[in-house]
Amino acid sequence: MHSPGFEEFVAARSSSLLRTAFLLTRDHALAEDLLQTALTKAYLTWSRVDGSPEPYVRKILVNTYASWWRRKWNGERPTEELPERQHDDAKLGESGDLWDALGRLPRRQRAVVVLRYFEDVTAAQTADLLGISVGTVKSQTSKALAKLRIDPSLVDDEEGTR
Amino acid sequence: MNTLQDLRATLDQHASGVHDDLATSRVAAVAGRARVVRRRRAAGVGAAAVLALITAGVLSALPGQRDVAPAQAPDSFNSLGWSYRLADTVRTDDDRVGTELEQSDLPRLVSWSTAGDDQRVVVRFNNETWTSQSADFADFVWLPPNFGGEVTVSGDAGLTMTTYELDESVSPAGVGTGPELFREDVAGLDLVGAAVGEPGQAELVVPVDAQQGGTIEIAYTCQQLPKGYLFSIGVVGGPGFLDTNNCRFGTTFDPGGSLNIGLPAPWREDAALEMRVTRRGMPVADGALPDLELGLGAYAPSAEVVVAAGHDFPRVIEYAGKVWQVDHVAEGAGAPLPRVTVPSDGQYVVTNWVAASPQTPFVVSIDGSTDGQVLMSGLEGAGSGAIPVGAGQDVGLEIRGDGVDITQAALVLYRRVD
Repeated sequence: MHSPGFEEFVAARSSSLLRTAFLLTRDHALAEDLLQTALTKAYLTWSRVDGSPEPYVRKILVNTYASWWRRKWNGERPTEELPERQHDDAKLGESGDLWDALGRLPRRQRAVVVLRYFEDVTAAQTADLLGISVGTVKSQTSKALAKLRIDPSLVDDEEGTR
Repeated sequence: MNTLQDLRATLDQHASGVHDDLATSRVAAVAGRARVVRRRRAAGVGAAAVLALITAGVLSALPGQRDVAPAQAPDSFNSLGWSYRLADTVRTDDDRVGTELEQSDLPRLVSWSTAGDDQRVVVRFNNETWTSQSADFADFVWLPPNFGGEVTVSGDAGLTMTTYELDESVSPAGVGTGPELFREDVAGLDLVGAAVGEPGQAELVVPVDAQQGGTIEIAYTCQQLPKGYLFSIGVVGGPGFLDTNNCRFGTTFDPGGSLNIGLPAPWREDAALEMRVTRRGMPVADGALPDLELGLGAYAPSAEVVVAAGHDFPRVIEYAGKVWQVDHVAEGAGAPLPRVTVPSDGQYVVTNWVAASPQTPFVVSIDGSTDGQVLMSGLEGAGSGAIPVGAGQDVGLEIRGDGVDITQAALVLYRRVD
């Protein structure tokens, strides 16, 4: 019923992908929906996966998030922005402020931040995953960090250490 | 000013709080979504592609060989206004043909033909047994949503079995679109109010044209309600009568066909029903749950009932994708218990009602077999749903236990009329 390796991949890697999906959507139900949407797209083209499937699925995941299409009665329709969620974890303190600020980032900037600083992928890999140029990744990162009240010059320092 | 370390720590902290509760069911969920995608794609690329794709969804065939170009089978069947499109065909020279179907969230049909003149067949799936003696491809057996498993047709050697899937491009008259549509007419009950919300709409108000009075039957759909949220259904300005966090009792296919809440009159002329989602007692704003899908329908009562054993039996019912009408009633007080013999022509189902001493166990017997569900009667009575019965079968009621005081009992035979 399933393409060879698909079940094994889901069993081994989907929890990790779910965490990424949660950081992107900031909502457990939306994260699960996003993950299942991405896995479904991958499942339908599984025979075309060459090599490790994880980068392939991760690419689908972030691009699905970046151009989210919401399910509707018949077919699908696009929505401009995912709704923002109130976060009710009172124990976050200042970290909660940063989390809230992350939630206010435009979708693509949030994807860049999650990929760079949670997934720890390089600017070049981020560019490949999102299908944009390295320059765009850097400019989006700088804008996002500024909104997060993080000194964008730190980015250049980090790039230099890699 | 924050630092990159603060950012990394925040991301790690929130990611580590994610519990993967659905890990074990995710593959099945993805496979289910993939089937929906394939079905939609198939609808757009023509019948030949439909056959190829859906054939791929059939796990394996029992004795018999697959043939994607049936000569006699109709392209489609109609069941209660829904259209079903030919999906698969299996043939055999044997006296039994079957297939193993994947689970589907939508209903399907199977039909059949026999090579010889003997048209009698037995169709089995789950624990259901249907008999038919209709002409080739003139009859079908309805497979309900969420069914997955083996379906077999037994009869005279040389059988063809065809499978049909719901054609979502064709809908009955009603309110809404797609499988969640509320039909205008359900077994003679008129739709007197319905609304289907946009995704994310958390409150529905449905004016009800209740001039006929009597009991209004309520149907609803609910999808994508997260944990911690409730939805309630009630009369605007009046009492609520359903308050739950469980969507699964609301069907996602043909909600009008699953009427399960009766709300008695009196109704004001300007009465309306409402369905709303709350969290911790507070209304949820529209759009807060973007994938939430709600639907609510109200049906006027049927004036046509047959009273037997003190119980109201609707004259017309829908069951297993077909319409049935009361054909014969057997009732009595005390012994002997009523019995009926199923006529040799047509298709029939039987229902029943027993009022006896409290907690009296009883069961329907068919040709002496009492393998069915054991029911418990109270003084007010109890009865089973419809049970398919075959031509010439002897149907009765059997009480378990001694010294039971049977107040009233009835068997009602319904004949298929659509």
